[in-house]
Amino acid sequence: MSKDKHFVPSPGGLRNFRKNPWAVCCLIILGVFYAGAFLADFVSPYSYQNEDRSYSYCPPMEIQFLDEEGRLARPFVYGVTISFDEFHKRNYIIDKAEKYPLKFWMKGDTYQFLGLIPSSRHLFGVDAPGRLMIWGADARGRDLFSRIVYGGRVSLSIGLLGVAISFTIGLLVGGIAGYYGGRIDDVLMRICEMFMMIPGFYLLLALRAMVPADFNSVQVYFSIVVILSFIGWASLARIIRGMCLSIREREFVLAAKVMGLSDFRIIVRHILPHTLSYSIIAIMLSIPGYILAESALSLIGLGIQDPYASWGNLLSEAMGIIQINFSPWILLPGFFIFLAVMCFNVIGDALRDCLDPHFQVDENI
Amino acid sequence: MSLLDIQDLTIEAKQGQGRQAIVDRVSFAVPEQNIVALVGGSGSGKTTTGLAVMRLLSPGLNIVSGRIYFEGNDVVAMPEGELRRYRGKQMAMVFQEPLYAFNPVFRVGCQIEEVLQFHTDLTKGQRQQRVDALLRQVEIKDPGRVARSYPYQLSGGLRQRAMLAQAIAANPKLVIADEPTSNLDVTVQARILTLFKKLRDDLKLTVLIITHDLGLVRSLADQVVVLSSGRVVEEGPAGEVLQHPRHVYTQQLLEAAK
Ligand SMILES: Nc1ncnc2c1ncn2[C@@H]1O[C@H](COP(=O)(O)OP(=O)(O)OP(=O)(O)O)[C@@H](O)[C@H]1O
Ligand SMILES: [Mg+2]
Repeated sequence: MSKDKHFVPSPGGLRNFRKNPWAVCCLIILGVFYAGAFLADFVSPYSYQNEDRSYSYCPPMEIQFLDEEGRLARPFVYGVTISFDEFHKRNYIIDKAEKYPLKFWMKGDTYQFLGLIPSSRHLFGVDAPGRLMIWGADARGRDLFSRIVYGGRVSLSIGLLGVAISFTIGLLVGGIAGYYGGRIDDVLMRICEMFMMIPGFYLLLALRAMVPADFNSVQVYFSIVVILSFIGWASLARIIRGMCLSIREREFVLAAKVMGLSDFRIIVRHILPHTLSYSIIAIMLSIPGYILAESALSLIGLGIQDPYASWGNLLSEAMGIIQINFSPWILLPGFFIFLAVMCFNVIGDALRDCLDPHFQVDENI
Repeated sequence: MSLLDIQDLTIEAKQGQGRQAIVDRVSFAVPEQNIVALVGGSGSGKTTTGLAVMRLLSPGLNIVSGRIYFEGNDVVAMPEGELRRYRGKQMAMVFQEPLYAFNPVFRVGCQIEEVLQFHTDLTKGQRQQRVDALLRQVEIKDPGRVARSYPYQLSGGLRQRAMLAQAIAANPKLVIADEPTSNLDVTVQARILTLFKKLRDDLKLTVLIITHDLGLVRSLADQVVVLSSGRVVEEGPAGEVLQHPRHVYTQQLLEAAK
């Protein structure tokens, strides 16, 4: 009597995950990202809308730990004054006369945390009239750090939401097709193929074109989520269907039928859990696709609209060579996209290594 | 009246162009509260007959003629929706290897509870009590531990008992047991067989037990039906058939069981 080889992810397998320092590192990075995005109102010193045109393209400020005499001091930033040279180019000059100490748990812009709890506390900041811009400012003089933190909310959550929706659809469609087989299978798989035939990005654009122009930001956000999930489910459904075709032949499925359980229950409770280790890996490896797709949409101006921030539309400011040349810090959002995408991939790969060595994902988005 | 009455059941398999009869005009009856043994060699169509009663034949197999009366209602003619009310609730089945018949990713107790959840209106707490009671009924000493175990963590005997507990969870009238003891050692076999008897008496259960071991039937069955190549070659009260087997095939089987 041999043990069944289709087991739940073995605890030994997940222990291997902990032994992979890169994966753990990436997990921590993502943890910080998601925590930051969740607490964006609090973590960022300013609201995403708080602008001061006189700080347009203000370079990143250095936080000083030593005062003029070189003694350790309470961290502070110098004020900046702006002057224009003969070519009307802005120059930001550090004004050593003004010192603004860094404050923690300070009062600043008011916000409603999660739309419920009103508050004006911020993790850190400086008192007015000083401004803290550790990663510089954008064209309209908004703090880039704050906008990146807020942007993470959109970019990181769109990945999760998109994956949640498309995996629900993909698992159900794949499960139904694989379980019933026959005509149902044929019809569902032809539909999947229709979706897979169209190149993802064009489908994305076409669907985006169908979204009414007068949608508000929340509606745009959700329509983007829906559009993204529309593209991802088909390839997943095909793979899940293949797995279900073999799982349904196993005796416990017959036993479940004998016990009179409904088809839906058998699919959801008895068959789909056996695709779990595949699904987890596939989820990890496909989230980057959603993040990138959102970024691409926002980059070309079809995604999240200013003043709302997402990493994609923040990056869209960096489309001109002049801006990049004179204020390279506006490329930072791109670095975050890169980091997040890389982390998901590394974690996905590590999970694959410890859960399922024979795994191949179809990254089609 | 018999609980189960199979009349002229013929099941065919599509094979290439032609068809092959797997079960050929089989008729026998299973009287209420009897233990009937369906005996035959490998490939004689026992499992197929059992699954036909549940109307769960694999796609390649078709019932081409015959009737299967369960409490006077013809299962063969029943629409799928109505069948659902029978499966699990009126008749249940246990398999040769419960390791495969249980879903490997869920705890045993959870899977028994699922049947209750589906077929009864019990609350969560009541269901858990009932699982406990069911496991005790199949003579499991520490129901708590067994319920919390995954199928692969249990011994073969315990697993088979747990499977039986699941089968009787929704109080079915008929239990079909497909070679329930073939994978167990002799002492455990004997105990499981006594358990069937006990359940028959306690729960007024009717049992159709499928086996290829005539010797095992001796101690258990009231009636025996001997199947060979899809045909009934001999049937009658257990004692009689075993003492005076008329058919050559039965004699051979008996010979082999010695
Ligand atoms: N789906 C199918 N398509 C074609 N032939 C099948 C199918 N299922 C079973 N058979 C054939 O039907 C015959 C009877 O099979 P069945 O499983 O009922 O035998 P059995 O008496 O239960 O044997 P065993 O003691 O080995 O379990 C076998 O010859 C088998 O090859
Ligand atoms: Mg069999």
